[in-house]
Amino acid sequence: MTQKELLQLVGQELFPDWKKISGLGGGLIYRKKALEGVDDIIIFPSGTLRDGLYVGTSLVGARSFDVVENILESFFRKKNLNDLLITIKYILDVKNDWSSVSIESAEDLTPIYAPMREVVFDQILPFLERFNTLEAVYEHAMEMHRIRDTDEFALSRFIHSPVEYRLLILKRLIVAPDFIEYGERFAEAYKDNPHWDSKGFYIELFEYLKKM
Amino acid sequence: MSIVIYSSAVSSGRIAGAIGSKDAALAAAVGQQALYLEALERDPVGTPQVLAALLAGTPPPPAQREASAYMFISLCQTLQTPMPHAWHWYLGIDTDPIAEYLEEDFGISGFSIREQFFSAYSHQCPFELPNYGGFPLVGYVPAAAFPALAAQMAHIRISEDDLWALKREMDYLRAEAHRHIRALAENMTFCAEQGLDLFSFCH
Repeated sequence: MTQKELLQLVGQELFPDWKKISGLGGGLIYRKKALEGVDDIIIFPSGTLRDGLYVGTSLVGARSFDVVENILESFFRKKNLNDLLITIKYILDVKNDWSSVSIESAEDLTPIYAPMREVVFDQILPFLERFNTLEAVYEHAMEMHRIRDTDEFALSRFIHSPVEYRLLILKRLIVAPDFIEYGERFAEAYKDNPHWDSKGFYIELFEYLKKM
Repeated sequence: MSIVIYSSAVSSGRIAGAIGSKDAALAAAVGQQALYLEALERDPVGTPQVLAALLAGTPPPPAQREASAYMFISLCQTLQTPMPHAWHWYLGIDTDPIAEYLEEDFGISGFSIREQFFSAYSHQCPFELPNYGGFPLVGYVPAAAFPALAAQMAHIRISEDDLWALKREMDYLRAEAHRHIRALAENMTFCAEQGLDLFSFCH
């Protein structure tokens, strides 16, 4: 069986009306429009195992908000940078170890469909569906801050990296009162230490957002 | 081990004219090529001799055949006309998706880079290609083949916006394949318009 056949078989069974995309490194990516301007994405790692293929148990569910990612994309294009344009994500390490199954034929997939379906439809998608608005995303991020005193690095399990870029955009779009203060904190740090700025356009982005 | 494919667009007449010319200025120009300089680092004495023998038209002895083939590549790179896109494709990793998406997205089935660049036309080269049974492998496509190849790909239109749209969807494999396919189509048209032959190398 090829990766592409695996992508199609899993897709037909679990995601019949989702777009099926061959990911880099053999991952299986399924994508669907969830709301106007919002896409849901499910990513299963996959690769070769013994004589067949495997589907990994470290899953990623993601939601991409056009209104956020369009801003970043315009900068990525200008800088010729490649990055995943997803806004929030949910990373899940599944305990049921279906990844040890060597998939050589369609029949080998039969026993693992049920746990895969359960994880995606009972855990990942319900989590993503809690965030239908930017306000909900922002509130959850701030809640993580308040409860766990979480820094930007830890927040990257929820907000896709670079977190400080996406949080800045979120703060601007929902008109958060500390937008300027937050932006200046990082802008000043990156001005003094440009190599800390992972994408190299934070200050430019901040200036753009201020004029928006 | 990764095997790469790259190409030079140059008239076979220019290459044929260079071989046997003993042109000192040309030897100096070839001597600036990266491949030559790498060979020179490995073998400071033998490398200039191999180049001199190639430009004198002397067949290389068995022990120098591989080195001579690399000198041939350096010669092609010296005399080439730069194409709109310089490719550096990994055999399999890049060439398989090119074939796959040419068929899936552009309706061109059975197009194999390896077959087209190294087998289909190489016997038509007006001189013997330096293929000695190992790497590097040298292939040839005559200028006369390009109008048909370019026509086969004339419907392929891939813009930067199209590539970004694919990346946006995380369809990176397709985006990368489409980028290569655009390079392939535009270089085919370039060779057809300029009347250039194509020499390809694989090692």
